[in-house]
Amino acid sequence: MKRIYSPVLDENLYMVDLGLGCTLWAMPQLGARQTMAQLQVGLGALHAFGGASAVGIAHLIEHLLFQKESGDITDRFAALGCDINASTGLECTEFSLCCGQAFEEPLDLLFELVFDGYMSDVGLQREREIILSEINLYRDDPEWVAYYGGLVGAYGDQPIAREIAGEAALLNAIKISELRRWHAAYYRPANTCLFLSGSFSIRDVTAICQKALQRHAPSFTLHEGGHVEPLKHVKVAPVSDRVKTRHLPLRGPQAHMVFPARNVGTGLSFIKRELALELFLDMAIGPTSDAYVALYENGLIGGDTFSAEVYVQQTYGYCTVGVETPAPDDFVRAVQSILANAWNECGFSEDLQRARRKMFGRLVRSFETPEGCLEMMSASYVLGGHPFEYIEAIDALTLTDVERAWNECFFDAKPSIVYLLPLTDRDHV
Amino acid sequence: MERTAVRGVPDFFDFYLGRGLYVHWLSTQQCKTLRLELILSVPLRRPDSARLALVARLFERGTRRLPDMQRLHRAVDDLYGAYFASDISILGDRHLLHLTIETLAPRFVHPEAREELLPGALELMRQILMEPDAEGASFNAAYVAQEKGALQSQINSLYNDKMAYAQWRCEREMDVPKAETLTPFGTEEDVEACDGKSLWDFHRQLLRESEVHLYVSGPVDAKNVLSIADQVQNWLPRREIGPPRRSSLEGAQPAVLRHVFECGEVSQGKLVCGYVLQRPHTVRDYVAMLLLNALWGGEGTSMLNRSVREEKGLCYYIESQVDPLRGRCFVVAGIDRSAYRETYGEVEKSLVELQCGAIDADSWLQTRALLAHRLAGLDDDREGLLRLNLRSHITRLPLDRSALKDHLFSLRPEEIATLARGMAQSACFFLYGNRSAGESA
Repeated sequence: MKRIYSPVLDENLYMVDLGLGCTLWAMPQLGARQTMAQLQVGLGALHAFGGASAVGIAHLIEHLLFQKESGDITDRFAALGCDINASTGLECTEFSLCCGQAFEEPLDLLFELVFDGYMSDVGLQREREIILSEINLYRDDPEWVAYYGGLVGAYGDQPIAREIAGEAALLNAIKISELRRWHAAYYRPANTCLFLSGSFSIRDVTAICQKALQRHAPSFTLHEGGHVEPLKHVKVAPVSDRVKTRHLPLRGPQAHMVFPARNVGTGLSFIKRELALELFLDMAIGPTSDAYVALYENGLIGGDTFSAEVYVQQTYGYCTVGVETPAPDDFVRAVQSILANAWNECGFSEDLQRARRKMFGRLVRSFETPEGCLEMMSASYVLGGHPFEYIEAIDALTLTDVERAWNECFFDAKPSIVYLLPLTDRDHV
Repeated sequence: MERTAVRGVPDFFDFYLGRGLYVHWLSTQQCKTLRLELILSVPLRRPDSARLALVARLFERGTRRLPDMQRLHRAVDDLYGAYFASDISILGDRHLLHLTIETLAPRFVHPEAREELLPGALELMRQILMEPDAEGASFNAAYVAQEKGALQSQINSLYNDKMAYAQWRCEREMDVPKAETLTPFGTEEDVEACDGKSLWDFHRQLLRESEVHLYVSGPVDAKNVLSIADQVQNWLPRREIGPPRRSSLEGAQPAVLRHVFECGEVSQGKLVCGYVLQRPHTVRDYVAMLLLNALWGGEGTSMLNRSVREEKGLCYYIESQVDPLRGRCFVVAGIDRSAYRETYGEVEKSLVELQCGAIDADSWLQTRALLAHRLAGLDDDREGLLRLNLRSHITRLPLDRSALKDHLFSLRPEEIATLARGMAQSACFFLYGNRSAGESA
């Protein structure tokens, strides 16, 4: 067992090997009434196995695992008064549990949910229908349409730009035997990490988790089941058509931009890279920047729709900027110019201290609840660090670091642009 | 100064300072932040709804001493990344303006800055509320014009979220007073009619007449809370506020059920069924409504989810939502056009089952266990506790958690059946698509 203490937060992180290669990260929160747990499995849409992509498959497995031979496992969680949920991302699948202080039974169920690979043809058929409905639900969401449109412009037809849930033809072709093979290969203890936060004794909770792991994953050994293929770095595609226009039933136009990070080697850890990009965006175009004020006062930002986000993982990274605006062309031109020239024109030396202070406040707040601690553990784990590194990194970040991050994403950038325009009368015909 | 303890939720210590100012204090060492939230409560009505929404936006544009949003937000950042927001919401028949500042607890900041953190946050809140940027007795005309445009855009963007739009349309079709279907943003027409002078007058009226709730929570002691409360009371003009009254909405009984179909450019149909029911007169009524909702469609294990999603595979998303304070319940689902009849049939069938008291024993136990877990979990959710406390004051029902839990475990299925029989469907709205699945517009 390894313990890391953060004097700034006065919090402990325990890292425990549960056996069979499964790791436990735990942050005890004295006084908390809820226990939050997340079992993260290293299988996401970006993975490949035997030459096949996990797009559609990872998400389908996540759905199917809830249907056990005895029925829907959600009912058993509910009988214990627990909430259970799951989501599939690009690099991993997360099963999240929220329960009270009596966590032994719920944790045991969580391990059963993940490691019991029971899947049936009947279940597959039903989940296909449900997932198709899920896909259609998101197709009516303008932000979703813009997000994927932007990723296609930046990455072409690579898995990162495909919907994680897949599409109808792909789902219809998936066979139950295929899903079982994927489950056997990826849902192994060595490919999982359990995050826990709540009021507990680390020794007691370790014993409970070890028992549950032995009970539900006894047949796994560290090297069984073939090799899990490591993720490859996602390359920015040489796409010529980076500007797309979609007509949707909207009241006003929107503009969305994706700035993919080029792998130019910043020399920064992934956590520092993420923070450096966030600092840059805040200083360059955040609500206290000159640029934001100018955009707002010129009427280029409508309502409360402006967003600037950073997405950094080990194999890819990109920033998005989006808004509802009466003049999408003008907005895009202005933002491109602001971000491309920000470094040369501003320098930001006066802003760095304030931006770091703001980020410090935001990060400390992130550790306020068991749920927040869980999210910080999960986010830092996939970036190859630990949650307290976020706090440590803020003070260490220099203007040079921020400049490197800017250079990677925004210098001489060719963003992918998606315009969402309201349907005209012609479109209705 | 007179301080009167008032009946509230035990998690908070509540007292009435007089002149319409209620103070609610939650002391917890678990939080890493100290949160001040000032809630101004006024009746929800036209054209004031648009005015309140605009004043909330203008609070973010600056103060007399920090006369633009850049300087205001930089002052917030300087408070160690404090969180600041000026928002609006609706609770029952009340329209609420929330002014929130959340700062780090002093132990997390540099020793030299600790003493200044809370006074700094309080002074900022005072400036925002009492001295917003103005030109004499009028809000800054340029800011008013920009914020009117932004609010119009916010009103319009309801249409972009097709599920929210369908729910809004359904409520408009329900046989309830139009005043009860107002959104927190007001109407476009009322927004258009506002100018700097009328908004300034409304702001002064707000300070004189609104019921004010001050929530202080986090690692903060009684001495500090009393000092904060006294300062806030000194900001406010001398006010004569009548005794708090119970929310006036009564669940109307609909005369006719309307089915409304609208064809739109959507991939998936959006079905919304709207019901009216009597508002709760007792805590037990309130808990019964929550339990009915959780049994019907409010949880992953509820009847609608089991039948429509898990058994029939008709949708990914279906849920029921109850708003006890407004006496409304909605069933909301994303379904294919072809699944309309079957889904609607399942919704009706499940309601009839509830009305007959045909509640599966396992579901009954599971649902109560889930709701009990939610109640206990509020200990870690300061925001949730605040909302519950505020509901308690608006409804004048003592919604303390132990009472809620007692009722939850003593309610009988027959009581849920009686409540379900009192629900009347008022409208069914279906926004159906002319785009086939997967087709891009």
